[in-house]
Amino acid sequence: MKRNAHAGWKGSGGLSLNILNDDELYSIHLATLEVMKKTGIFIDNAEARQRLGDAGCDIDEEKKIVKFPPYLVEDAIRSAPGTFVACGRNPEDDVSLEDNRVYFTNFGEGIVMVDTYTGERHPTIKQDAIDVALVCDALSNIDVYERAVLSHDVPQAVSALHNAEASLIRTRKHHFLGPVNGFQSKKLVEMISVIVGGKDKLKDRPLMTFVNCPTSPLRLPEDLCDNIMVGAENHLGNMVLSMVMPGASGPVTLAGDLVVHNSEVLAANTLAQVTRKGVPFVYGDSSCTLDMRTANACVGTPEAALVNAATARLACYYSLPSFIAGG
Amino acid sequence: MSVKDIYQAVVDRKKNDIANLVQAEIDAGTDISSILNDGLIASMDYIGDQFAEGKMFFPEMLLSAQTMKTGMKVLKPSLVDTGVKSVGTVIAGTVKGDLHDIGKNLVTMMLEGGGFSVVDLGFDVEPMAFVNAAKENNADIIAMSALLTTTMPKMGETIKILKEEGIRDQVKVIIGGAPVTSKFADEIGADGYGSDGPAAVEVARKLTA
Repeated sequence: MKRNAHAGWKGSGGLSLNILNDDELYSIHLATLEVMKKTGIFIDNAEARQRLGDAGCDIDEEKKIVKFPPYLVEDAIRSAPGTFVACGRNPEDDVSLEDNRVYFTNFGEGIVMVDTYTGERHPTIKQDAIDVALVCDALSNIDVYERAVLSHDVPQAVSALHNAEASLIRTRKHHFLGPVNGFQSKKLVEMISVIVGGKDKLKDRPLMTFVNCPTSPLRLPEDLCDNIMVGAENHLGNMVLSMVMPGASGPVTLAGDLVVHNSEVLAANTLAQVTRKGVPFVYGDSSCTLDMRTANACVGTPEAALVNAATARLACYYSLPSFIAGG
Repeated sequence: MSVKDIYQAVVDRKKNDIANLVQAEIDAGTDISSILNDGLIASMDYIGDQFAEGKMFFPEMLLSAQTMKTGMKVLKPSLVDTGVKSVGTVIAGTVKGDLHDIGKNLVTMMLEGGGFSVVDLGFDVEPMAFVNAAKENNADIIAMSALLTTTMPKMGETIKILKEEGIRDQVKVIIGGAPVTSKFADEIGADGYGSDGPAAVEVARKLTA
C-alpha cells in the first residue's frame, strides 16, 4: 500500500498555553490605553517627563504624573522591533528574539549560595558570580545569561559594575543585567564598548540588555528612567520587568493585574522609543501572588503561571520579544 | 449603643458605621479612654490574635485597621481635650536605596491599629531623615524596613547617627523586613525586631510600656 504526500498540508508545531484570544487581548490593550490616558503613570524623573511631554504627553509636574495619548503608546509599540538580535561575543553566540521562539536563561539575583562542595550556605560574593557565569557559559541549553547573583563583598555603589565584570569575561553569551542607576549604566556602556570595539559598534553588536523594574502600581522610579534613556541613547535593548502582585500592588483579578502591568511596561517602552525610535525593547514579567496569610510573594503558584503565560501572549500580540518567568 | 458596638464594628469591618458609633459614645459622655482602649484598641488586639491563629488574613486585618483609623479620627479631638495620650509615636519608613514598602505599610497600619501615632516617611529614606523626624515629633520609636540585603546596613547607620547626636537612649529602634533577622538586630544594636505587623505591635508595646 502507498500513502503519498498531501497537497498543501496545514500543520501545527509545538505546544503552548494559549491563554488569551485576540478579542481578549484587544480588550486588555484598550483598558491599558485608558489607564495610561486617564490615570497616568507616576514618573519620578524630570528628564523623562520632559521628553515625554515634548512627545505629546500631558505632564503634571507637581504630582509627577504623565498621561499618555493612546496614539503615542501604539506608535511606540510599532516602532520597537519585532526581531531583536541579542548579541554575544561572536555571531555564533547571538540569539534572535522574536515572536514565540523560546530561549532559556538562568535567573537572578540570588543572594544566598549553597556551596557546591561543602553544602554550606553563605551570602553571595563576587567569586560566586564568576563561578555561576562559567557554568552558564558551559551549558548549551542556556541561551542568554542574566546577572545571576549579587556580589555582597564589593562596594555596593558600584555593585552592577562588579557583577558585569564577573560575567562579561567569563561567558560569551548575551547579557541581561540590571545597571541599578544612571551612573552605573553609563559605566556599563563604556565597559561593553571596549569589548565590542567601540561605542559605534554597539548598534550592530548590542552585547547587553538593561534590566529594569517599575514599582507597582503604575510607578516608574528615577533610576529606571535614567537606565532606559542611557540604554536607548546607546542603541542597547531595555528589558522592563514588572511584578504586579494581585491584591497587593494591583487589582486582585488577574485581568486587572495584567492591565496595570501592561501600563507600566508600555510606559517604559514609550520612553525608550521617544529617546531613540526603533531601539530594541523586551517585555518582561515576573508577576506572582502575595500569600494573604504571610504577605510573602509566591513565585511558583498557578496564578503566576497564568499571568506569565498571558503576558507572553500579550507580547506576541504586540510583536515584542518577551522575558517571562517560567518556573 | 455602647463601647461594645464600637469593638464589634472594628471586628466586622463596618467602616461606614464606625464614625457615628464613636460620635454617639462621645455625645453620651462615655469615658474617652474607654472608647479608645476597650473599643478601638482592644478590637485590634483581638484581630491580631485571630491573624496569628490563622483565622483572619491580611485583607480582613487591613479593613479592620482602616475601620479603627476612621474611628480614631472622630475620637482624636476628644483625646487632645482630655489629655489622653496615644500609646506612643513611631517614625516608620523603608531605608535609603530601597523602594519596597508593602510590608512597611502593613506594619504602619497595624501600629495605628494598636493605638500608636505613626509618621510614615515613605521609602528610600535617608538615615538622617529618620533621626530628624524622631526629634521633630518627639518620637518613642524609629521603625525601619528593608527588603534588600544591600540596604540593610542603612539601619546601622541610623543607629550610629542617634549615638553621635547623643540621643540614642531617647529613641527605641525596631527593624524588620524579609532578609532582616533578630540576629542582625542584635548585631547593629537595635532594640527590637518584628517578623510581621502584629509582632511589630507587640515589640513596640513592650518598648513603650
